Amino acid sequence: MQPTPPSLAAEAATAPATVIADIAVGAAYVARSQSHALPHLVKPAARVGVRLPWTPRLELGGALVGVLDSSEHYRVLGVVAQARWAFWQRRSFEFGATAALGAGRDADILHADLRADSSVAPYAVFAIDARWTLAGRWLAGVEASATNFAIAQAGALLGFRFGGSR
Amino acid sequence: MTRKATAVAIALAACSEPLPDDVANYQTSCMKLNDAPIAPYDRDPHRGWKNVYACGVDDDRRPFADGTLIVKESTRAEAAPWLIATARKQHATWRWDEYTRNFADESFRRTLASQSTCTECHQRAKAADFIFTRRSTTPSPTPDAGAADDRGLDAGRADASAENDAGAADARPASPTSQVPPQERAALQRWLATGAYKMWHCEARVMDPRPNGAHGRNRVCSNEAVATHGDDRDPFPVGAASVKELYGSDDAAPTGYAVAVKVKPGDSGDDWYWSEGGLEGVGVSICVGCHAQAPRFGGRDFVYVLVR
Repeated sequence: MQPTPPSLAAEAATAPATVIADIAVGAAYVARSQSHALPHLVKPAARVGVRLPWTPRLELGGALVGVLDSSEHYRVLGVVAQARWAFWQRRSFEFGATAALGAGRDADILHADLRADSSVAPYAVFAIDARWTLAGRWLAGVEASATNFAIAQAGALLGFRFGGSR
Repeated sequence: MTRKATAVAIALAACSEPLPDDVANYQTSCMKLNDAPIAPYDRDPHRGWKNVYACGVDDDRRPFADGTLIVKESTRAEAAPWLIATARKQHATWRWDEYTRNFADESFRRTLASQSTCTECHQRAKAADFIFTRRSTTPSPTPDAGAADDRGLDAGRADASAENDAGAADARPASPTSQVPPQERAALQRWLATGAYKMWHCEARVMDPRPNGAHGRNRVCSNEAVATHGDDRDPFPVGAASVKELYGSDDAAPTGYAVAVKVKPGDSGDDWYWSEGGLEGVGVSICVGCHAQAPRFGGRDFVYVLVR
């Protein structure tokens, strides 16, 4: 594991409370789809998250995750508590891994037989990201994630650090 | 760069095409070639129970004329088709397309299936103008129908066996017809006499009468559609069938048979063909009335005993 650069650790320790809000928008590959047609395999997807830095590497918070589709069969929408660990850090760039657990709409498309069992389902989301810090407070990067091993998503990431010092 | 982007855009647009207008009413405006639904088999490229229709023709004369449209629908657990495959003959050449969907209430969209993949498979039916399924006559099993099934050849059932030949050159499945009993008394009796159902999933021995059982001592055989249908919330698909051997006091030979065949999608007793003794037909009320209680006794969708 890469040691935390002293400057970042010190910065985090002395900084006033910071909130990181970010949004990831991209395309979701619907792994459970039995149809081979592209419109049934790929859907727009998004994640909106808010996290607090807990340590220089760890951020804790929550997020809304979802697949954006007009059909209720594909409508994945959940609320998850998430933890992001920055496993490789530089002053203005880092790789992170996120694990998130929560609950959401039990969409048909989350199931191998394309039939939802109930109205609410547990959600488990795993993600990796690469993000840059721009102009002190802005975050930009890319993120790939998997939801319930049924939805694989890749997209662009944009975030902002509220509070704290630059 | 612009050309590449245009090409990608065209490709994306092409692969999201909906079902063409002239395909939409194939079930009513076209001639159905097969009799009983064609069963799924190992490596089935159109996974599911299939029906094949010929549009724009008056009979099944090969080679087909230019302008002929062949439509194959495939249905799985759900009542509505999930796949429609089309073959269009133009300038003496077939063009192949596939349209799929996940849910009955969404539109079919064209897939990226390549012409060469389809052509390669249908090459095996070259002698029949590349279309495997032939218009069937009423199934008329011969005394050696069981042997015919083993060969995958039966003149009266060329549709099903030809389809099998296509998909399972190295792992021949049971003939689809051996999975679906005929729905006509004389043909059914001849079919039962062949013992084809004994290749299904059968109980190991004759069982004593079961709760709510009206058939005395019996032994049940379930076909693949019943035995492998995993989702207990869904009705069985069309083609699901059970044969019940009825026994008297000794187990030497059955004294009769009770047969049920799902002939229409849905969850009603009127979706089943029933036969026992002098009773025969779709939705026979005395059969439906009793079998409606199957879920109370561990069964489902009008079937009491599922043998896996």
